[in-house]
Amino acid sequence: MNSNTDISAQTMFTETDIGRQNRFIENIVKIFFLIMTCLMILPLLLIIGYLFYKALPVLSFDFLFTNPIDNMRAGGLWAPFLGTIYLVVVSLLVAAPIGVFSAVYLNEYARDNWFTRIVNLAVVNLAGVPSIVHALFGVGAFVLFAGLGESILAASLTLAIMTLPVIIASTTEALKAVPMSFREACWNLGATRWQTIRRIVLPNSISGILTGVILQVSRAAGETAPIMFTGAVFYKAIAEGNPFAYNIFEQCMALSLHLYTISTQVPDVAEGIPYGTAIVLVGSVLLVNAAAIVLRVYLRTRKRW
Amino acid sequence: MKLLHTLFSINGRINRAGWWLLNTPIFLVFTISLITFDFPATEFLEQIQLLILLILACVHIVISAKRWHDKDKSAWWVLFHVIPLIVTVCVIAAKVSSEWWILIHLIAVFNGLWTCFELGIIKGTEGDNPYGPDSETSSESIIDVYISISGISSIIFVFGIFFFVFKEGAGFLFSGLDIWEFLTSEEWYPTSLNNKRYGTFALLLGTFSVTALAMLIAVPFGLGAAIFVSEFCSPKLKETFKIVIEFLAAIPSVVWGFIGLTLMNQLIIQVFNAPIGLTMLNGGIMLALMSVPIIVSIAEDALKAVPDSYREAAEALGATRWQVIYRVLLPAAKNGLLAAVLLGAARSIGETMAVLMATGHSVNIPNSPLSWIRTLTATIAAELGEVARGGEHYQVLFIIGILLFTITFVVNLIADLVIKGIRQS
Repeated sequence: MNSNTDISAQTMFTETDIGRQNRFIENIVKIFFLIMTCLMILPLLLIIGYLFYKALPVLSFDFLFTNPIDNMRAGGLWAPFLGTIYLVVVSLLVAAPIGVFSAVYLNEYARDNWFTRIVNLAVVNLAGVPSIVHALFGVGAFVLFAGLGESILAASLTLAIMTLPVIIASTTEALKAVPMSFREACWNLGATRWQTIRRIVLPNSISGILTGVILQVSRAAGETAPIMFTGAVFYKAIAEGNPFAYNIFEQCMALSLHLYTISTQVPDVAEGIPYGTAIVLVGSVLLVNAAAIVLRVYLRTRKRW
Repeated sequence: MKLLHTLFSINGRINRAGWWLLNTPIFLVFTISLITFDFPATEFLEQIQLLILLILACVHIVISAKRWHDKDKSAWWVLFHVIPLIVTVCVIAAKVSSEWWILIHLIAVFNGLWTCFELGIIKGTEGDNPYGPDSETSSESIIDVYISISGISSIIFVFGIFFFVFKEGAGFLFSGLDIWEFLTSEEWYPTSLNNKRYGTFALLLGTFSVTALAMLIAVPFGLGAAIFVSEFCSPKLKETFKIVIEFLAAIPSVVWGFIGLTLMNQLIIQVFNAPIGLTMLNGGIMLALMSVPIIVSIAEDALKAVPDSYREAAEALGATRWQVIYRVLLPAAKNGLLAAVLLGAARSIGETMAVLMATGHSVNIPNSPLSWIRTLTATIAAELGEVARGGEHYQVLFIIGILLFTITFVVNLIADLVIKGIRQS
């Protein structure tokens, strides 16, 4: 740690005590930080391993495709699983166009002035609003004010607004990565702003946009608080095997809320079922994330600039 | 201004694509508002809906007028399909006797089809015409409208969140609630029959103590990992670590809560010989694991933003890696690191499910990491489902929501200003 400016010229190329000491410290520091990083990674593996190990007895094909039975003490995950898919798809349909257009506006249209700064600040703050406050907003705005009642639509709209910043952030990143010279070349050929965006900017940033959309899916699938009071219910029986069993103006079950319910509200649930639910939830979310990563890596290898 | 010109001025021309682009959503909104007509709605809402529909009708007329211009006809042609439409709507609204029913609907359907055909399918004149040059006919102005509206939607949503949460809680906030007691009393008895108390001090303390504990754990690890990833890693290893961190960030909060409830609960019982493991420590560890990814990614960005010339200069002077980090990088990146910590803390404050499940959820002034606590967020999540809509307790929960919104808003604002500070210097 102490200063090593007194290394003289003749000792420069042979290892001095100070040099050895420095190298030693450096190695210690490196190992220390490595351990810190690994201590973060360890829990991830540990948790997934633990959940998987505990869930092993119940995991089967039927677990995913049968309804919960016996007051949710036994049975499978069909109703909550399908409910989560509904919530995610509807929220995606709302959030994706608004998010992508919003990023296009911020990156391609907005000038660098106070108004743009406020818009950016709003995006940052939208991302920072606690999920339970989004839930309150959903109750106030969609369930009560818009008169949608507790429904898949109300819950999805809440989720969409909550996950909007995810799409805006990744799309902005993707648009920024398109070199300015591409746009300039296009403008010089007489293309309008929208033509440039449509033909040059969006095709060249589609990978980043898709990544953002996929991350939105994973985020929306895992959220519990925003849907608790806006459209997800503890229990709702639906037809097994029918993917159109829900109506978007009615309530649905959701995986995340189901996990909360059976692990805290329902006594005497069969041992493996909460773990099975947790691993299905984590598994689907991580799979979706993995898809985003694979897509990103694949498209990066084909990048043309 | 260009936006207003596009939507509300009949001057100029528009092509078929533009007409469809703007009218399809308008038709959709009209259809949806007809379907949702039965939903329980307040009178105020009905007025707002009416206003929106009226504005959309104006836009429809304006855009149709421009389409007639495109066909080198006067805008007055709009009346040919607007007047029958108005008559139909009036007749339906007036509930005229049933013999006319079929005729009126036939007129409406024929009118709609004719409009779509005339304005949506038949091409405009080639080249310039008296109403405007050919170049103005592109649908770009309509797309600009959509992009601009999406662009400012975040502002609308942030205001909307504040407005609606405030609206639900405002009644009790301004009449009846003793704000001083609300913030400083530790008595939270919202369901008591004769002695209702709405003191959130214990909840505030719960939120801040568990956040502080989480930061105590997460900040060293997060910054350490950020330094390792940014300064010591080979590019390939870096990529791997980043993916792992992304995965860590993706695990849903309810799963963290579940882990706290099962695995961490047993661990704490065994390690500390505690009677129950659902404590502040448990919640703190869960929150730490949840906020570490944010801290790592933002701190790493901050370290990456330090110019390489700083590192090179320090190493040229003979500094070791550690000295470079400690003396050069950390001071240079301190704003970004501070922002990372602030955003991590904001995430912890706002987290709901994990603390609801892992901290014991009992109103209590914590005196050690092993005491159980209850947070603001968890209180809303646990009680909102059980309160009567519009009652005092219900409104208090929304007031807590306003409090949470304000806290995270301020923290995020500070973090944003801190980050902006670096960019400007």
